[in-house]
Amino acid sequence: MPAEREDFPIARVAALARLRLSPSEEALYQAQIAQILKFVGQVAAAVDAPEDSRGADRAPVIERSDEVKPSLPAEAALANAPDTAGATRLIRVPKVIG
Amino acid sequence: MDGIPETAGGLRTAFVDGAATATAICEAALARIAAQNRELGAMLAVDERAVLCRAAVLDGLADRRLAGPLAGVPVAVKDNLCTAGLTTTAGSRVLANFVPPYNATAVERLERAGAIIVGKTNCDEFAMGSSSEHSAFGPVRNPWDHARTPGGSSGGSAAAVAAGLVPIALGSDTGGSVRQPAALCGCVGVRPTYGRVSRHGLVAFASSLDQVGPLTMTVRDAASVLRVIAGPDILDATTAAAAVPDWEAELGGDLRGCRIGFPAHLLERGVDADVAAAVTSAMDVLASRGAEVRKITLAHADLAVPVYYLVATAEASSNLARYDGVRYGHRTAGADGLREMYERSRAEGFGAEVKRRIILGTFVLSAGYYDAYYVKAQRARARIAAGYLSALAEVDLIALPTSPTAAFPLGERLGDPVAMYLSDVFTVGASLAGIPALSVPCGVTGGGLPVGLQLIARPFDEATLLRAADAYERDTGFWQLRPSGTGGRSGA
Repeated sequence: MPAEREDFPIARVAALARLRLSPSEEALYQAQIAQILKFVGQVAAAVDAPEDSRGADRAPVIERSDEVKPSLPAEAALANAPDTAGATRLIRVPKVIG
Repeated sequence: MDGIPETAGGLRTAFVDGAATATAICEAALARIAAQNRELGAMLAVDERAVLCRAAVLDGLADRRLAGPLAGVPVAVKDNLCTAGLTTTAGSRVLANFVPPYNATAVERLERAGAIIVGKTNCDEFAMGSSSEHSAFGPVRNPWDHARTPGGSSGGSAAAVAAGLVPIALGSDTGGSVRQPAALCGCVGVRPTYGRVSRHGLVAFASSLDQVGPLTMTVRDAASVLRVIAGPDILDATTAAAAVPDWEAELGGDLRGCRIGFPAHLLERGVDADVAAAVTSAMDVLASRGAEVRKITLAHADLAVPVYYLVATAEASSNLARYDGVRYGHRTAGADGLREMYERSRAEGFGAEVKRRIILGTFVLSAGYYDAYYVKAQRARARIAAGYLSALAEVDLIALPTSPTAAFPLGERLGDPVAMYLSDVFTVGASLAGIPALSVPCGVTGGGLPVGLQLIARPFDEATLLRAADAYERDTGFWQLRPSGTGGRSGA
């Protein structure tokens, strides 16, 4: 695990996270994330120890039958949508292909 | 306090016996909210008309004994739990106008038990924070000292209970968000075992850690609320089938036969002297009630905060991907294309702490870094859980401070994320292990601020947790200490 990244790739990560950051936010988060990564770096040393062979715990999988059941009416489910296309039960978004 | 009993149990008895109407109880709660909330910032949405309508329905029942175990009791609900028809913001601008079409299961169960939801409580945005300062709707102030934070993220719930606005509030605890504000505000806060309480209708932050829990004035009230909200739920596949005992019926005894482990080595660094003294002194009280208190070592405890902030941010970055401005939540005005709409909606909607955690979480899950950070954090999480369970094989409970400090000044840690994260140093361990824990008041500092004792138990052994805390509470009476101006004995 890299213990510290002064060159944290803030622009690439923000793009992956679909977040548009201002230049001042980029500078702030770059410095703060580097500080946080330095802090969390101690995890690497602990689990890199040679005696460690354990994997992450797995929670039991709980399944239920795949059946159609009563649910929210479409109107209620769409009531919070920012832009709906009238009575068509569709949500309107900006153009996808330029 | 208005001549009306201040505990939920007392209010329920007064309602059932006819000594008070639900309307009078709720009018008193609404009056306290109106008088104090402008300064505290603890409550967000309050629908007075709906509250009084519901109270009138309860008052009209032919037999009030059938109205349920929380009949006539006003309850506040953290604003990250969905309430049908009542705005649920999670403290975020993204959800500023979101009105859920359904109730969270915990809310539904409270209402079925006769409780009256009086409103929603302020919190850190998406429950990410330890001071309730990261809310889009302003900070919450600690009723004990308005220049200090109530802790977080369920700071509004803790402040509402501590100030006597309501006797019960629901919160959510991901890394300590019920226990730490309970400690800083001088009330009781319970984080149940992971799977004990349904998360259906809880706005997701970190799904492997989130749990709903009560904040109350007394342990008895906490036991009563927990029994109402616990149990399997078809709408949450992570709820467990474990039986829900009548925890309240088991209270009232002493602690003979109870072994309590005290990892005193963890108090040697970074813990305020007043907090260490109060918690150490609590060990003597527990011993005097018959408990066998022994020193123990808790393995890997030093890894808990960094592991928590890797796991929780990874899960948060995934959970919060849903806020894209399409189906609900904030959408930017005038974006030219879909991707621009996503990026600008999220940039405008999220606050600084949420953005910071999304960025960190996205990074640790990204190609090239996933194995180095996330996988290793999961391995370390398993070690931490094993450390707790190994200790709990030798003792019945583990005792720790809930928070290393009492309530800290507003703004003190806002510029230093790591300092803020270390507020959770004693609470994140139980969260990562998925085991139950609570905070109970254990005194005040020299400056008159409350201190919380944390007790941690084996999975699904809330009974031992509540029994011990109840015995301690009855012996000390710290729960009766109240901030000045709210009635009760002042801690200052």
